[in-house]
Amino acid sequence: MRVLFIVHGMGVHGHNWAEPVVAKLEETASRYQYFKRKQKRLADEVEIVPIGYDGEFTQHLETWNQETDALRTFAEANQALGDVVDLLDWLDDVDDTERNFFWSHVVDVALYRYFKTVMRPVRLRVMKGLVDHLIPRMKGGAIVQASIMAHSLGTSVTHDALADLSSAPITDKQGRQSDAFMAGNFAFENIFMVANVGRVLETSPTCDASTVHPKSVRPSDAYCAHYYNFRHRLDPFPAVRAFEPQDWGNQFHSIAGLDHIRQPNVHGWEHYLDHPRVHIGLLNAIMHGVIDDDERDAAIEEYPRVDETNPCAVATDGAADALEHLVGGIVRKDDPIRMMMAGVKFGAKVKELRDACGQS
Amino acid sequence: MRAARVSVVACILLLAAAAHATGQGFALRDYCDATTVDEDKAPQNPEHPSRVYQDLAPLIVAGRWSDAIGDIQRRFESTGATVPAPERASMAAQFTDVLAALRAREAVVDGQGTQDTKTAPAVRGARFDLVFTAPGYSLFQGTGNDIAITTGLGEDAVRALCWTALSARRVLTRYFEEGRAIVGAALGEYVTRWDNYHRHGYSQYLWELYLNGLWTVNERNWNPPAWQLVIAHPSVAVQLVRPPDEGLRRIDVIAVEPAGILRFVRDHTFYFGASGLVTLSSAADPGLGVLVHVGRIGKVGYVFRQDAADGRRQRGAVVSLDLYKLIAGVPDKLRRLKETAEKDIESTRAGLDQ
Repeated sequence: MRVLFIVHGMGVHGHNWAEPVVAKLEETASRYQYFKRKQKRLADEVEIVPIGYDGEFTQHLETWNQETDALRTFAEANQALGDVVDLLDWLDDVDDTERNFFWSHVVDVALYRYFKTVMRPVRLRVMKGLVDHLIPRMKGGAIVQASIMAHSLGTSVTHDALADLSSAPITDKQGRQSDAFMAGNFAFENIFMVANVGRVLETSPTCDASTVHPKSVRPSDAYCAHYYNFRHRLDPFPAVRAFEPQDWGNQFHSIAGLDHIRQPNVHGWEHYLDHPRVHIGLLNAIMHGVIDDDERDAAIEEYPRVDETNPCAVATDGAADALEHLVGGIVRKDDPIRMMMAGVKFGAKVKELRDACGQS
Repeated sequence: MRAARVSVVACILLLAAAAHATGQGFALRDYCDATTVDEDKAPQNPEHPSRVYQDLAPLIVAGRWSDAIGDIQRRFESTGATVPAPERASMAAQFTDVLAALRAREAVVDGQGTQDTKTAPAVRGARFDLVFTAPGYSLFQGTGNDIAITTGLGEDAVRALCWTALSARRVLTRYFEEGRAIVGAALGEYVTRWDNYHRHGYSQYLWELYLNGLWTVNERNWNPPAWQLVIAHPSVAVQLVRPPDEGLRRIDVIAVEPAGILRFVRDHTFYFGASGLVTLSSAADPGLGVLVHVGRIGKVGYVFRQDAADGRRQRGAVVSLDLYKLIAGVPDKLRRLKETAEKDIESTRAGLDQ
């Protein structure tokens, strides 16, 4: 049984957040002979399991919203105290999460990185999501070939959750201890990190010190056989303190020079997946080499860098210099604040491009 | 005639080339990819991992793990004749290692003579994982017993190596089943406690959320904090005062708690504690006092303030807005209930009169 867990990135995610990602995976798989010949969908071969955690962020935003609403109402009735309440004005915008890039995206990063009372339950929720799914499927000695793909903030969350799950025995309320999911006893076949921000947001354990590495690093405590890292040239998020481990061996696969443009948001998960270098790497790793070298090379060769049929892609290509300048300005920075600031600028640029091509 | 001969030779060469490309007529994943192997729902070969696991079921149920793994080793020794000597030696070394770990654990008995059922750390459940690294598979990577599985080993050897590894992996996967359930239960408990902490706890502003995790949440402690600091926490409350020669008066205030501390109990479903209190209102001078927290039921405080006009000290009670609404709503609710009851009685009486 093959299972692919998918972990979302920053932002507000509705109940059906995984559908576009799954649809993109299906669409990309359908381009290749193996699936055409067998007349099968990817979902027939791989169980795709979404793991979400953004409820941890939204519940805090909602609480603050309620609190500030009450204070605001009070202030309106008590003009003399307006100044006191104005101190809390900056919390007002939490209601606009749909439209406000900062509150819907960057605040998640800040809460996760700096607030341990948010970070810990997020990690636990992801660990529980993985384990709850694996336990029944591994019943009776069934072999589950598990892989995990994460995007953006999800790469940091996934790293941290896997590092916690794999590094120490876990004890329940009755004092029973178990090492069943520790490295050595369990391992993922593949980890796919899309727009990896693991290093810039790392706390403890760090990416270098944790067990979340391929077997070609330290086989004894490796939590995956293969580690894939995908990075787009114009995406500012993974550019800050980029994930570029040295000497990770042949089971670390770095696909870092992506430069395709299909839409203004080159940070988008589906945008990454659209490129053959990304999805063929993923499909071949999960399905054990179902797309041969010739078909892979042809797909990469024939894939146009810019989708000329999409005016937004053409407009984005025209703005590539500005995006490159944005990435160039932060590429040597190494702190999360810089990444968040670049993220806000990037969000504004994407909005501007979408507005210009009528896609907003 | 010559053309026909050339065609036949060309066909033979093409067929040979095709056989070479698919790995001497067989595909590695048919034997080494667990999911592909499992697709055969009714395997004929008695060495197929599904058949082997079925055969070993009585040993597994009895917790005779070393016997089950020992059986797989014996099967490998009898079927793996085509496996080259170095690979056979690697497989043997790994079996020796895992059997020693299992037997050591099985030898441990408690005071009542019951076998210790805990898993042994040295077993290493992922030991027999087959790793796909194009164009082949690897086994025991980095252990000194590395085996590279390629089509060059031949179909019989590949089958023996991969099926043995898959059979052993299934047994070891089953070996950790109880341990996995413990992890699942433990993570469920942690998540529930955090849910309680955030849902049933006292709301926290950004700075409080930050400070409360700073020292208490760490790598070793995955539980939510047992104590919560309240720092510069504003909220809307109701202050009840009785000025001289007047009745009880309600003043809406902002209750600012400069500092306080709360204690969580019962798996973070309830908390209690106290904090300092400053009340601010445009209708009255600032007041100072103490606020007592009783879970989400509400908070009740005592406050005093200096009247600027006559310099006299005034005392009052402060209640959270929720609690005030609850209390203030009771007479209304009772009145409505009474009215409904009276109407019911009237209509019943009218019915009886008819």
